[in-house]
Amino acid sequence: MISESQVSHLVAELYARAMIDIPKDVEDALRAMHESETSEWSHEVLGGLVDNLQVARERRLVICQDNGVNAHYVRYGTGAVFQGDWREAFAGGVRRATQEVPLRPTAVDPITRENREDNTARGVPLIDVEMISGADWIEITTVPKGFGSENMSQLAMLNPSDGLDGVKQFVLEAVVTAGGRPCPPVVLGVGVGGTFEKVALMAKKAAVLRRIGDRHPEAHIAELEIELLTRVNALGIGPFGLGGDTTAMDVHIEYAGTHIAGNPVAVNFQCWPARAATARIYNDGRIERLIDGEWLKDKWSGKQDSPALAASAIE
Amino acid sequence: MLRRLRFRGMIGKGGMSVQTLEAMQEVGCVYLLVPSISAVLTTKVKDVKEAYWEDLLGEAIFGIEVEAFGPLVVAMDAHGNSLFEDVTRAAREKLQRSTARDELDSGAAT
Repeated sequence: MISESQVSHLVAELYARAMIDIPKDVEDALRAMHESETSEWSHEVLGGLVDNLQVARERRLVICQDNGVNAHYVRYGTGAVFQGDWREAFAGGVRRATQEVPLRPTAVDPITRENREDNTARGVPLIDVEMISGADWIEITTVPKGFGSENMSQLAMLNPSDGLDGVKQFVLEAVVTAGGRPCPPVVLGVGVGGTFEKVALMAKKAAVLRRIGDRHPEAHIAELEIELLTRVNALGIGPFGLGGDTTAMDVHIEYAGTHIAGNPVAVNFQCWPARAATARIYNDGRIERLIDGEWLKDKWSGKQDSPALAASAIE
Repeated sequence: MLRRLRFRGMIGKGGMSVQTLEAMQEVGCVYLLVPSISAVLTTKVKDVKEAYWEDLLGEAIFGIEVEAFGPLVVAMDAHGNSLFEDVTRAAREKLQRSTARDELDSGAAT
């Protein structure tokens, strides 16, 4: 049995870890980009990013002052047994991390702008749950999603006649419009197909859950990811919009079937530290900390969606 | 605000509007980009001198004393130049050229 307090402790730990120690794949990508960047000042700035990782880790300081809106992506085994208040487990963890790290209180009521000063609000923590057949664990990935990048998100219900070219054009336009504001080098998440909310969620998961260098399991989508990555970096926007070779660390695409009359596309940006921390908690209380993102490979192939949504809309 | 207070430099990320760029020319002010590296920046703060509007919580204003704060890049200068604008204009031109190529390609295919 997994208790509310176990989950709460874990969420506090994950939120803190995500804020201080970034995933290894991101660090490797940043170091490689720092090496290869040809624009002088962008090289300098990338050096600053790399130094920052070290200082944050050594002195237990947050990597970036924006702890974002806290979002938690949960894979919930059908064999897992949880006891307690599910939402309170997450809210309690977030409150504790906010106080102990400490973190800026960035969650507000959108109408009154009231701030509870603990990073919770109506609907926050954001919790997304996916059921996993047969598993006896609950797996949580905590993502502090910064709003410099989130504000640059775009969604369009394109026409089927706009085709795949229209989708590509939309993505590239979004990157140019965003410029340096989403804190590049970014991870670009692209959702294609589905419905209004589905396409946004796919773009978000593509941006924040898949790891750098991870390719979509279907060859034609993987090719599209590489094409877009090449074309995005050819735009020359560079780190923080200063110009240079490194605008995106990666482009990830997720897709789902859509309606014959539809061609939805969404773009979400994840800022340079691409923060996330993951752990799995088993029924027997065991906790497995999944740090370097390796495990995430092939986890978000869209294969766990319903068969009705499995066909590609853009073939 | 810039015209009223006539400060000579600002530090931020993402840049400022064309209107601000105009005011920066009048006043003689530069915009310095700082990457979002709060851990490094924290180590450069020597003293917190003053605090204003603390009710704004995370958006309160602090007067701080810093040493070797950065890296900073002059991204908008006092002569009306904006690196952001230059980079975005170049990116837009590149995008238009590559779109035109796309259309040519798909035209050739049909």
